Amino acid sequence: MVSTVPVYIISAAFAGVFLLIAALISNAIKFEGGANPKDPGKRKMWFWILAIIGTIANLLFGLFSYYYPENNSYAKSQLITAIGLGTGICFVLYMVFGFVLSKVFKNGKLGNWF
Amino acid sequence: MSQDKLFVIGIGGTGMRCLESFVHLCALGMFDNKEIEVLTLDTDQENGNLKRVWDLIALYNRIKNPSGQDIDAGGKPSSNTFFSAKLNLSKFWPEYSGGVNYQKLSNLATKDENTQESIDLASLFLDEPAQVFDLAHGYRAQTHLGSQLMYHSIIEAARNVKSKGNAAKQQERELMDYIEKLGAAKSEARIFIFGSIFGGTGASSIPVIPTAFKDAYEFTRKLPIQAKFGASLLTEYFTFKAPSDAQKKDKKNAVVADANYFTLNSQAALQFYQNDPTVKSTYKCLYNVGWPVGEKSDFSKGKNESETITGGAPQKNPCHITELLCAFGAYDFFYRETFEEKEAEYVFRTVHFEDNNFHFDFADLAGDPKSLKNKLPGMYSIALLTLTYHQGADNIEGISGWMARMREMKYKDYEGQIDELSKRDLTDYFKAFLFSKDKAGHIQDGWLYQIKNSFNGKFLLPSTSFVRDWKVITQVNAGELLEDDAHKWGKKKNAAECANKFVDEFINQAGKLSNEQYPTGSKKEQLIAHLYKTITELQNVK
Repeated sequence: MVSTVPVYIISAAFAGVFLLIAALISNAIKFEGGANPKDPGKRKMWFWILAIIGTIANLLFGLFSYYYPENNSYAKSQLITAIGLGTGICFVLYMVFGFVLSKVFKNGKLGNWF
Repeated sequence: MSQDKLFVIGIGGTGMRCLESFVHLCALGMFDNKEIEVLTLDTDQENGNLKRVWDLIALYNRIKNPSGQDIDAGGKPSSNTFFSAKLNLSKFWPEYSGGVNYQKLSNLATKDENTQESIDLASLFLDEPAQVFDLAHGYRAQTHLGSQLMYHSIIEAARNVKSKGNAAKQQERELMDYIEKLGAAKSEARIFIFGSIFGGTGASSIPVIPTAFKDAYEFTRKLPIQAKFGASLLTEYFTFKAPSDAQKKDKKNAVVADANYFTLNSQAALQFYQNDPTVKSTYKCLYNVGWPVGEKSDFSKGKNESETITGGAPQKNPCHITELLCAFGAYDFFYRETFEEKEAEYVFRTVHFEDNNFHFDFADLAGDPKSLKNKLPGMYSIALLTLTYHQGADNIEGISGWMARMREMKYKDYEGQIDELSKRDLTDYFKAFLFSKDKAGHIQDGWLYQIKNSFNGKFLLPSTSFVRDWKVITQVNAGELLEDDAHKWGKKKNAAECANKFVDEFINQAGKLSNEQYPTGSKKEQLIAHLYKTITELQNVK
């Protein structure tokens, strides 16, 4: 019997870390003046890039940290399910909290995410 | 402010620049809830300064107008906003085109039995060169001639309008409509006159305008004008290239305003204004404005003039601090609660001067400085961010930059509501107010820059606020203009952060405007009031 709880915890942590990175990058992108500023597009682009990278990184981390080192085939099948679900959860958490943050700070730089 | 009806007149080149400063004060919102009748009076229709003030008032009225289309209908008076006063422009000029001179105008050009007596009489007061020079460029410092001709042209206009009605010339009808409004307002009218007392047209007209207007109104209505008259007595403050001998030899140009005599002219004029019983009884307040120290502005500097410019389009000189002081003379006159009953009051004020440098503070210009301290830096901040951060100086307009910033912040009240012409007009006003960039990328001084650069020393805002280096301009902090920390809203911020903070506050102020701030209900008027409300909250000058 293998515990899949750490896989879910790690997935949640990945969502949080990548959201933090997205926020830091968004704040680092300077406001641009003029009628056609490019900065909102850049923030949005980085938000989605980090969503994809975070999800893939979470998947790879799960595979290399839990799945491949495991020899028990039953445990492996449980882990692959957990890693798959965890990856989905990571993406969903990233999106949900990203959306919430974007609405909370809608006048600020994070507001450009959505 | 009293509820009196307000009138202003700009006369001659200097009067036009004073009027220009006055219009900028109106744009700052210094005359809340007022409808002001403006008259430009110049003999020289081609004068560069006259055209500049006409253009400025037209721009003001387009901005003020809800639709932005009809320049004659400049919206409604409002309060606690920029462009709060409504300006109605009238234009009058005596018709001196086609080589008209005194002799032709007075039918003295041909000597015969009938005219000989008149010729002799005219020659007692006017030497021959004064009788034959071309009047198209004004009275050329010949005030004895100018006063007579200006009075004559006003009475002539009254006569023509009375006899010809709508067939009279447009400028004559506009003058008489103006005088009609002045008369109709009775004792609740205040009229302030801008002009120099050392030059030609202004110096000739200031003494005779009250009498000429009263006589013209009596001629048409048989009623007296009861308005309170005020004027600036602006003495010598600039110089220009002296006329050459070759220029003086030309008979039609032998009479030229010579800057070498401006001191003498000023002295003589002041003696006149101090002693003349008619002036003392017709004016309520006379504001002495002078330039007693340092170097005078040289209007020929940097220009390749072969001879003295007597007028016309080339006479487009930069604005000067003394002209702004005259505009504040009008401000004082219009806000004044009481007047001397019998004689004119002569008003003056001194400014701190040390080590050949002036130090102008807000209190030196406006008695109660709070309003100016809020409005002038406020307009400066918005204009600066529009021209630099939102690229208005490089492009046709910079208002779209604000709109884009609002859109990014999910605020869409003005999205698609402000037409392109209005955006351009607002940007053009900011350029006229602060600076513009020419094709080569050089900074061209706007009004406030011209005022600051007309003297050495400090002028209200930090000296870095008036630099001409583009890179330095872009680094000026729009939120750190006032000395007191309590009024600094952009401390340690760059332009982008200031613009962002401004829009942040702008969104906070949404829905907090009163009807008095945008009485027509138009989106453009609302936007202007919204900008004003935002900067007022940020600067916190209370």
